Amino acid sequence: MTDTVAAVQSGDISPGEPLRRTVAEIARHDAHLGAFLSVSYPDAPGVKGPLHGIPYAAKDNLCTATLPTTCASRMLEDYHPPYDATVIARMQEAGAILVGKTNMDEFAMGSSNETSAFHPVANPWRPDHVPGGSSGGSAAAVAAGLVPLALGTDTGGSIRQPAAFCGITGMKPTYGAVSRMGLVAFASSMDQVGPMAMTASDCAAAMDILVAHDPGDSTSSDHPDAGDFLRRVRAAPDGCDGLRIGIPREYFGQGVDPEVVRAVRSAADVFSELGARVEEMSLPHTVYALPTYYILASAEAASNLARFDGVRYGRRAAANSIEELYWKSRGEGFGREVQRRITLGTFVLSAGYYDAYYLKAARVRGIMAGEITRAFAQYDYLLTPTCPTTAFPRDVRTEDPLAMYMADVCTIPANLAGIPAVSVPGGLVNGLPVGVQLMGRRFDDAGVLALADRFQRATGHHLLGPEGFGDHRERGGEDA
Amino acid sequence: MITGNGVEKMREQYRPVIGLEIHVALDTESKMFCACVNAFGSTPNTDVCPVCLGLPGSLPVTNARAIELGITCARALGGQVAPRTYFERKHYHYPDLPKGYQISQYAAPLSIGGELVVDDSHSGEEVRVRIRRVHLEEDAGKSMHSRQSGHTQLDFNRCGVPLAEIVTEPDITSCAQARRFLEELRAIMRTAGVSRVRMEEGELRCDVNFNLVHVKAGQEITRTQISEIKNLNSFRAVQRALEYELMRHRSALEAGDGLLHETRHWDADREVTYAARTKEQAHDYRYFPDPDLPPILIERELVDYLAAGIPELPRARRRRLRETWGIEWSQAEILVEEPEMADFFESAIAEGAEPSEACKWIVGEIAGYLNTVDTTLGALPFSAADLAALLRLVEDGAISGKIAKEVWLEVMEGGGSPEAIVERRGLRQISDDAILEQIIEEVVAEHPEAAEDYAGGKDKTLGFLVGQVMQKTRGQANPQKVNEMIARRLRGGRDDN
Repeated sequence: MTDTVAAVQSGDISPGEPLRRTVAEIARHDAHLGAFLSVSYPDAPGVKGPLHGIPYAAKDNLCTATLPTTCASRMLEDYHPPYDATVIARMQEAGAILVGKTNMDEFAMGSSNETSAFHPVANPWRPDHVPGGSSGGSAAAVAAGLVPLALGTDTGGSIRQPAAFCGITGMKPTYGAVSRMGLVAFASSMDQVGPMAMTASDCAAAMDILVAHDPGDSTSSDHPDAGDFLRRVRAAPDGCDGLRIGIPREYFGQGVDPEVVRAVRSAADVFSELGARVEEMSLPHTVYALPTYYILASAEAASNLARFDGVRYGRRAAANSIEELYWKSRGEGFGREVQRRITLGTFVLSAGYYDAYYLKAARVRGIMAGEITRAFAQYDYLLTPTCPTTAFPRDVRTEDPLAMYMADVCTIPANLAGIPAVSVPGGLVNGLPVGVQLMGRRFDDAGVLALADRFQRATGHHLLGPEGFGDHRERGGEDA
Repeated sequence: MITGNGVEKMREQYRPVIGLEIHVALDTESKMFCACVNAFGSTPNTDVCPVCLGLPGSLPVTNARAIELGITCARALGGQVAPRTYFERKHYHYPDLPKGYQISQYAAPLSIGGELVVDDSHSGEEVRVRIRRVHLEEDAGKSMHSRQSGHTQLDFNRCGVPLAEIVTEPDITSCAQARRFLEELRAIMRTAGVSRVRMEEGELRCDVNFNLVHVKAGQEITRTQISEIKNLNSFRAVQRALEYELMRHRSALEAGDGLLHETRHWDADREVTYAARTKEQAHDYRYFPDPDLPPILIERELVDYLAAGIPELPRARRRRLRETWGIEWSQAEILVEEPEMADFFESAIAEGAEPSEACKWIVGEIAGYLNTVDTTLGALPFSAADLAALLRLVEDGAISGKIAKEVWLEVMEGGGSPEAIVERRGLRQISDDAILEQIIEEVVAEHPEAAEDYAGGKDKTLGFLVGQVMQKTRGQANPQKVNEMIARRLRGGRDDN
């Protein structure tokens, strides 16, 4: 993508050229993939800016004034927001062109894109496998070469896990780095918008646009380290001399595919060869991450989704009383997984249960975040699998929510602690991509991306793509 | 042996226990969590934006001014402001609550403690009501139910208007005291600039908690369960609802019924309270800290700075005005209820007005005029110096009290200096003896019988003769002087001491 930007800016290709390619690719492939929920192709190739002419897709939980914003839910099937999310406005100012809204798990609740109320998304590597979720449409669109860049959102792994399943690079920024204004909230204390692209440097180029203090979001940060990503990634040396990388052993417990473990070990070897000191360490509270997350995220979700009552916008059921209106609108509008989380979240906040569930989980979150912060006194980065497995076949986990929730076990801690994390391709296992996760200190987003970039320069795993798709990838790496 | 005191102790008593929760709308330019104007009376659903409408993806940003006014409110009531506070979400479903929750405070209120002292003007009794807490929250919209169509119309303009909720301990012991408390609270809020407390705009709304204790021989025998009456929006409604509850609880106790703890509503037309539906009774608001709003850290310096800016509070001011200027209690009450009025009074004195006269004019003429026009004192086209000038004209005998009222009405309506109005309209009193003598001669000539009667000792006739003179001078004669001159002319100064 960065090469395309350079080509547009030098006049080697016309600013409309990348958009023409995207239009053709979407037309050719999306009927099979199901990555998009709506598309729109503007006539003008965007304004002159750092991403001039770059087509991109946005997950359908980011408010757009020009396209519907459904959150892949019947509840918002015909909802047209009156405003653009801050990130959408910033992308437009940078010259990027929004070409469509991508499919997702309903209200971002899911790990396989199967809870979308509209249609599933095929994994471009193996169409009967899931692309991961909840940003499955964004991941598939990038992996299949339909767009060079997509925006996802990540509350418990929803950028990184589908990035891993689809063999692309996905970045969850530090909490507070990117504005949440216009992101339809799932769990406000963990939601972050982030880039999904082929390479870490493309993610860095997007981060240069996305990361900015937004006075309209009280949780948005004005941290001085949050900026200048692409330049810092490019300026980083090839080696990793002096870097200390920890591998927390709790991420390799029960349910982690041995092939995935092997991929992470080989990534560790790569970093060792690059000069890093890589060693096993322990983060004992990691085992509590999953229950902690499901209590807190569900509590916030139950609250955030209370506004969908059929009164002002969204689905409105025919009813004879206000109670019936609420009951039927919400019953018809929300799918099973969303209803499950609302029920769970309502329960953990209820009188008599608040202390035992919500409050205790909030305390455990604090303990876990403290443990991770202390680990960063000894280690610069943490290396883990992104997900215990590679992509799984469609329908096998839909009846077993707990098995589905396990898909997020490695990604959740970064959301609970608010730290930046990236998933990069770590090779193939049985023909499917494996994701390797790198986590860093709060606001060391540039460092995390630089480390991912060094890994990609050293391995070329990110250059592998699924068969049968037009080549949107920049196979620019000279060692490819 | 039973002493008088003992008889008192044997008496049965029903003792009301009353606590109040008062919502006061803060006097900010914009709403609590968005940039929409905080106004009243706009076309429905025009002062709204994605944030106060709770549209998907919108986020709140706290209005710093609302926090400051909340701190001022807390300090004016003597509360301790928390160094760290945060907002929570209070969940319930109602069509005029667009997010399905209200941003409010629960576990960590802005301030705790404090006290409001009410002076009972009749008994001279001092009632101390402890304040439990003050917290901040956003207002909801308005639902307007049409009985004809059965439809409900929603206006979201009020959504997000900043409110301070003031919760008292149950220290109030009579219905009249509750009203007195609210009047005092209103005066404090106005004086401190926290709220303008325009009742007709719903800027003060009150929930009351009431129960009744049956006491005999100083011992509690039994008590009723608490009734919570919601959303009373006038002082009258508070007092009437409490009086109704007193009656209801007393009848219940006499019938041996302890009542149920319940939420009730006030029917202003029938002047009765009635129980809310059972669905409204059991609340589980599921409070939890709002993850969209980081905790607020309040520095000691800010609290001190805001506290230092609070003017003299009504109770102290009333006392000072009475002690310094010798005015009546009731007059001090009226002056201090509107801080502007008391300021005007003190300015008039500074301009040289005689205090009791100035007070009489402000409490009478000015307050009366303000009741007929829908505006505030500050918006009217005259100053305290004008009133002082008017009083000087009366004192100097340049105009009579009656003329003064006429002149002042013109000043209040259109402005201008009293002196200029008197000159322009030729209202200066005639005190010139030569002119008055001539007119008296005319009157005596025109009414010889009356003159005869008066000269013959019939005192009542004097009024008639003076009236004739006043008529001929179109009210401009100095009546005191005319009295004296007629007496001298007809009785040769016999009555003239």
